[in-house]
Amino acid sequence: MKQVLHFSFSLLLISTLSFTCIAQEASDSTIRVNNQSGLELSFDYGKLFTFAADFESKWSGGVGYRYKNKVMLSLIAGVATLDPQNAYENGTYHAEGQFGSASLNYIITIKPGNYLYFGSGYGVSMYEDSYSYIIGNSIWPTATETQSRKDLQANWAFINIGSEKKLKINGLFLGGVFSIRKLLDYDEFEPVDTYAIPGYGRTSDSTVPALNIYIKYLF
Amino acid sequence: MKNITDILLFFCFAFFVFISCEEQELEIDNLSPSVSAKFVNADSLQKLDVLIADINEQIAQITDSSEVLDSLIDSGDPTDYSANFESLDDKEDSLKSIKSTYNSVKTTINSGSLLVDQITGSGADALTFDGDSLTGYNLPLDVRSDFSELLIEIQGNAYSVNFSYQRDTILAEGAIIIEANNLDIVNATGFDSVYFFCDTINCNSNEASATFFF
Repeated sequence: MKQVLHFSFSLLLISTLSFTCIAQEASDSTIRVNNQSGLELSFDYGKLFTFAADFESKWSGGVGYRYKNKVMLSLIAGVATLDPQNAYENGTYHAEGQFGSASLNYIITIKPGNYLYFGSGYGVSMYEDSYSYIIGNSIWPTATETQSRKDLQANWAFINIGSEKKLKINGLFLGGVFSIRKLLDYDEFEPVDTYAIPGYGRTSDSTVPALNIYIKYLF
Repeated sequence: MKNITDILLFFCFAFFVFISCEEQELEIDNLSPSVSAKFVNADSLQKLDVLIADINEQIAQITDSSEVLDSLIDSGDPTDYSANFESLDDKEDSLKSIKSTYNSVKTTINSGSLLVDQITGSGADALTFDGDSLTGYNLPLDVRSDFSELLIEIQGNAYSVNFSYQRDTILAEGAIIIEANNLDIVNATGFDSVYFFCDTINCNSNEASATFFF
């Protein structure tokens, strides 16, 4: 399963890079380029893929401010429901909650209408989780147990590298961003710890890569 | 390039659809704590010891008889005792053979090899062994309680043993399991004696063993 997920991640990475390559390759002379500034709204359409899987579903969107195609402040918010398969051999894990992040990015104009940016940010998640397990026995009745935990919090820092292309439709951008997240703090438990955090990922990995593809409108 | 992206997207989507249809099988067996147990038929051992002692006595008598015959020959008795010696040797060989069989049975009993009819508990299913003699049995503990009363049937006779323990939930090798620690035998009925062995500080059930003599 792990290999399959790596395969999936690779495919998504390749597809996103392809998008960004298209973005960088396209040379649309009709695009009027200037040092644009303004409010931006974005929608992470890559997360729509998660609705095809039964182990997670996510929505994510953001608002930001772009200053003269030099600096970009991004605020992202989302909701996520995680049901990771194979969390436990004899049980299940469920987590759901809201997450948000803020990042400051520096924009480099590769060519008119094509941008590369990098930056860093901070993310936070407020969520609840539950786990259940089943223990069979050769003579005694099977034991089942469910535990729930509410009002949990986690936060992390991350660095970004992304690419955006201005589309023909005025104000519309297509982009992708690759992040490395470093978990700073979360509510830990013994003996069964938080397995996955909405907006971050698995807690067994103190750093996790993330990939987002989005469409954005600049007012 | 555009076509390649379309193909990649198609594969991505197909993959998610594929894994969304995949069912997860939970592995719930072999996760319960249990106690390693051996059952020794002490009554049979005692009877065998009596029989072996009797055989030893008869062999000693044969040795004495041979010595008497030797002393007669040494004192100049011209009688031919060959047939007597032969008879005594045959009898001794026969007794030694029986003694060997008895010792072999003792070894088997001491090893704990025994056919247990069934192991069950109050409100539990019965575990049967299909006529197979085993040298060791695992007594499963109830993870829903701090106390397990096990009923053991051997050769048509009923015995019982009560275990008390502290349950601790742990995560081990990707499975959430319940360990039974500070294990102790509270009561055992029907057995002549019980030898309980546990050399760890927290006395985890999986590291404990008990020998039941009946």
